[in-house]
Amino acid sequence: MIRDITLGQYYNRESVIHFLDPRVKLVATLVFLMSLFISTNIFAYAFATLFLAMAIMLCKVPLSFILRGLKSLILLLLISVVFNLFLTPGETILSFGILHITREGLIIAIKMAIRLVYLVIGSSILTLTTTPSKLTDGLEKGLSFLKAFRVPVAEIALMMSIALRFIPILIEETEKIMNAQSSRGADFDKGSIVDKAKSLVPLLVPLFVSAFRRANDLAIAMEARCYSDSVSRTKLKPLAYKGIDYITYVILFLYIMLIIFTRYIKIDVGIM
Amino acid sequence: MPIFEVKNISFRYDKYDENASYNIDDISFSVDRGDFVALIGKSGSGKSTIVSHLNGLKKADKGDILYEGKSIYDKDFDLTSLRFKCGVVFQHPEYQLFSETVIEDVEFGALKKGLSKDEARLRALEALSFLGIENLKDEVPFNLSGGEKRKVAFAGVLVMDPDVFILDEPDAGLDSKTKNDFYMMIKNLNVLKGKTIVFITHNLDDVIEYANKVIVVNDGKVERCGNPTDILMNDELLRKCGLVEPYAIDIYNYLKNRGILIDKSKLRFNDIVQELNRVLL
Repeated sequence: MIRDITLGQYYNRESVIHFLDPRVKLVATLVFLMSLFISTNIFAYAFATLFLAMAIMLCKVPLSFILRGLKSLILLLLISVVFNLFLTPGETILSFGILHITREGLIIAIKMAIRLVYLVIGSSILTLTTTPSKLTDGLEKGLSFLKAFRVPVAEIALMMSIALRFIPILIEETEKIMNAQSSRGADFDKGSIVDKAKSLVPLLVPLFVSAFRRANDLAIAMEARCYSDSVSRTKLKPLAYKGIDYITYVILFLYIMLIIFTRYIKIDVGIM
Repeated sequence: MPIFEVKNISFRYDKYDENASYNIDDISFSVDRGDFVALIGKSGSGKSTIVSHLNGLKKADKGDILYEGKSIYDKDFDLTSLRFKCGVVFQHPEYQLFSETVIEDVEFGALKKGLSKDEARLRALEALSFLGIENLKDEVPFNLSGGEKRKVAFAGVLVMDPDVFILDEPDAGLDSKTKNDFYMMIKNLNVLKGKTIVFITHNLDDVIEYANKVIVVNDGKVERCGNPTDILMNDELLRKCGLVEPYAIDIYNYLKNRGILIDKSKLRFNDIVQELNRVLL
């Protein structure tokens, strides 16, 4: 279960998506997430699906690996779907005693489920195809215009990249601690949900201790290498746009225009 | 019948790439009851991955592991009971410690095994006393030194009274005296109580000193398996596996080149001293 969280992990492959400038990937993720929230009808969701499918195909990360990240989302997905399904007022289409499924509730539940799933897959593709250092570079350079407003862009970018980098590290550490406890007879798979929840409590103490220790070690290592926020840095590999990046920007522009265009299509295709 | 029989196991961490190569490939060996087995090989060769299969923490993609003749991958095989019989001290003891005090951490395995609270506490105190660290019982395990953590981790396994001890680099981070004491204690467990020991080490002199069987792992494969002296005298094999001859073999070869032949089955430190006394005096 713990291994199922793919967000924040980097998957090394030689693909056109891995090769893209991190700024393009950041913009692409943002555009894709925006497109999910402005999609209103079935055409928009079809285009978003097509766009996502293309990205998955091009990034060469196994689909099963990407979908694994959704396992940890199932509970959130269920809560969101059930609440929307039963608690949205509107035209009733099915009744179970005091519970009513409304047409509006069904539409919102489907939309929410699609948005949540696509949101996680879309943002996972960004981290799966971009190393934390490239992501930091991309964020720093992409947001550099904010420096004019005295926003500490470099520090924000560094904090974000460290936070992202820590996700897989903490997952690995959780697994190691679980292994250590399993080897002394702890069983995380047997028992009721309450038993399973109880067995997770002893995991949290060493995990927090380990996270704080790692954070402290990192701070010391940065101090030891004279890290300072007051110097402007040069890069070993400065970011520079290539032809493929400009082409991607054009594709992104066309994609968002297409999604906006679908808002004006008025065709009655059932519930959507 | 061997206590462990590892039959052609292969395992890869990357389950999603069909083209990914196996991290350990076609591994076979057996461990008899009462054996003191050393796993050697350069870093990253797959030693830790192999031992984590022995108590079922990792499941092989191919092959089988038999414990006392029964496959540990059988549906009705009780893995939890195997883990009580086969205690593991991990390479990084800090991952093994999770309770708020040393005593609570040490008694965890005994409680899980079904012992009463009082019995488990008694066993934990005995284990701490056996390791000479009973003064640490109320300490927070995370604040201990590396060597102390390793001892506490070992005590946590000792309370379960397993038949097999799997020790992943048990001497890492220990000073020379503590290391010697530690190995003597393990040797005593092996000789006096008949416990089976499987340990990973980079110190080949310790292999000669303590092990009766050695398994050489190279690039995820078992390169050779057998008597420590025969294997560690094989200069070509050691070079191929990125290992360096132990001092005991150096001394043996040095004396041999000067016409002094000592018994090659007696290359433990005390044996060498005795042999030198015999030959030179």
